[in-house]
Amino acid sequence: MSLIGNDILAGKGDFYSRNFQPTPREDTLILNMGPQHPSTHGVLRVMLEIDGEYIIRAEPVIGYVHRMQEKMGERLDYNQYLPNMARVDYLHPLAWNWAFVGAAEKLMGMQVPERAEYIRIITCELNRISSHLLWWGTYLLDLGAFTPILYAFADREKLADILQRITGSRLTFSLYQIGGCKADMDDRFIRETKEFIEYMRSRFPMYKDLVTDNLILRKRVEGIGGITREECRKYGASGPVVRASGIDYDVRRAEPYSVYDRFEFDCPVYEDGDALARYLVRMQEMEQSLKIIEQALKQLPDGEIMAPKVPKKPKPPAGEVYHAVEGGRGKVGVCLISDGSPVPYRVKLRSPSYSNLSLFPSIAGGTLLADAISILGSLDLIVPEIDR
Amino acid sequence: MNSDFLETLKKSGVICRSAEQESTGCKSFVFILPAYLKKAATIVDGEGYFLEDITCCQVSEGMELIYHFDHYHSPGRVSLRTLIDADKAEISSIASIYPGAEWHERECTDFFGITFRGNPNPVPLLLSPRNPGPVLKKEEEKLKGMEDMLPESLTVKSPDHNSGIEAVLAGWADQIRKDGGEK
Repeated sequence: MSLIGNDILAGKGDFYSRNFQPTPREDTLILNMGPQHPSTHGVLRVMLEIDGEYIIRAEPVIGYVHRMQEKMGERLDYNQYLPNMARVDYLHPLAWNWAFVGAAEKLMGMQVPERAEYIRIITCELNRISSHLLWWGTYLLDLGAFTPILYAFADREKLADILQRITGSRLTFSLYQIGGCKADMDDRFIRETKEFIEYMRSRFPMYKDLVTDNLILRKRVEGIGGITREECRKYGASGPVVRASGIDYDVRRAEPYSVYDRFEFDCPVYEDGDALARYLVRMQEMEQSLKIIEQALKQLPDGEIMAPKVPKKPKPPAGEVYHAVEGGRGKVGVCLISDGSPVPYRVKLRSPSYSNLSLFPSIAGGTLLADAISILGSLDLIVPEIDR
Repeated sequence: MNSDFLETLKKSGVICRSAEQESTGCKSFVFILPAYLKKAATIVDGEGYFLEDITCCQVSEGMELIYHFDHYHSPGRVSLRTLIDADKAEISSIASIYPGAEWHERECTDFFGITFRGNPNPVPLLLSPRNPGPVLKKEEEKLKGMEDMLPESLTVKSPDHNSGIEAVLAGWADQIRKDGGEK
């Protein structure tokens, strides 16, 4: 048996426990939350030093589903690498898909046809809603409410049906290609999307009555896990996490891409910085996404969905680009460095959950253990995206 | 051009270049000597930028460390770069300025074997402690020159025409040039 295995059997803990354990106090307890804890969604482990019910310090241990996506990026050509993007964040795969093709298009100086831009926006926003719905269901499940996830999955089922028509899959969507989109929207897709907008709008009042205004939920989220603006900045947080802390920052506005500037929509911002604010931001974002989809369907132009003469095996010129898009969890960034060959020289994936989780230790100290569950859930973490 | 660029950098300590955000994704590229890293991070921090990510790219000249910063209120990405020796890959940590840098630096250690002096918790992050070594290091024959892969559109603007962070960094670069450059 290996040395590490012997240490675990001797009760000394593994490498990370031994690194975390030294503490000046003798009356505290070291607790491992995860990697097999239902509320850590997948395989995230958080080591905690607790004094009774209170957390003194916390340290996340990540890497359990690390797949070396960046190395794969240096081995596969641009088109071969596309399906990988869907597996980085399986809940909002189209954002990652877009970040990568967007970076490659920038590198090649390629213009995407207008209709393809609209298809991208419509499908990406539909995907954002399905991502937020799953977060909503599972967050409430973490907090002890079982029913909402069933409602959320009923809604997601409709979205999966709609997106399956165009992408061919129900979870790890990969629709965008360098130069445009793989498939066009048909009449049924458009009809079902319009029906979904009406349907989803009729669900929000019920969710508000059933969950958002529920006193038990409020007690679990109000004033819990406050994040200040300065903490957001120092840790590079983005997405709903910063918008709940009073920072009006959305990549769709700050670094405009595609044709987002043609639509009227709000970026909900709350000042409180607590778990409730993050909850409310996401709930309102779903409504805003519907608004964007509705406008995009009205303006939808005819035309091609792929740019002319896109090579089967793209060979971008040597250079470097950074392309960011607004994903369900925040700023999704892809930095591509090309040496002019058909395979990228370096691919850097900037994941929003990674930065958002890294600020957890700074806000966990002094909170109740039960509140840590609420805080982690309110950050909306996707572990494969953190580990990449 | 290659050796010229590095010579200039060595002499002046800092080189600021403006870029077209639309085609490169970055507003400014700032090349610095490793000794100036903490000072540069302090300046960027003072201007209210947030840390986007830290990454590395191995090139024939060594390890090119890339720090991306952006601003919540006046967006425009700053790409701060420095070059260190691939065999003796060591540099100061900026975790005391940006605590969020801790994880990004640990990731660079996992992937490229770089040591960040002063990182508060320098243990493996994404790879197992029994990891097979710096996995993103390239074989010698596959390495390409740093400058060959930089965006073509990098231009030098006079500091008077710059605004915000570019002006601050350009002013700092001037100061270093006046002070005699190399440390």
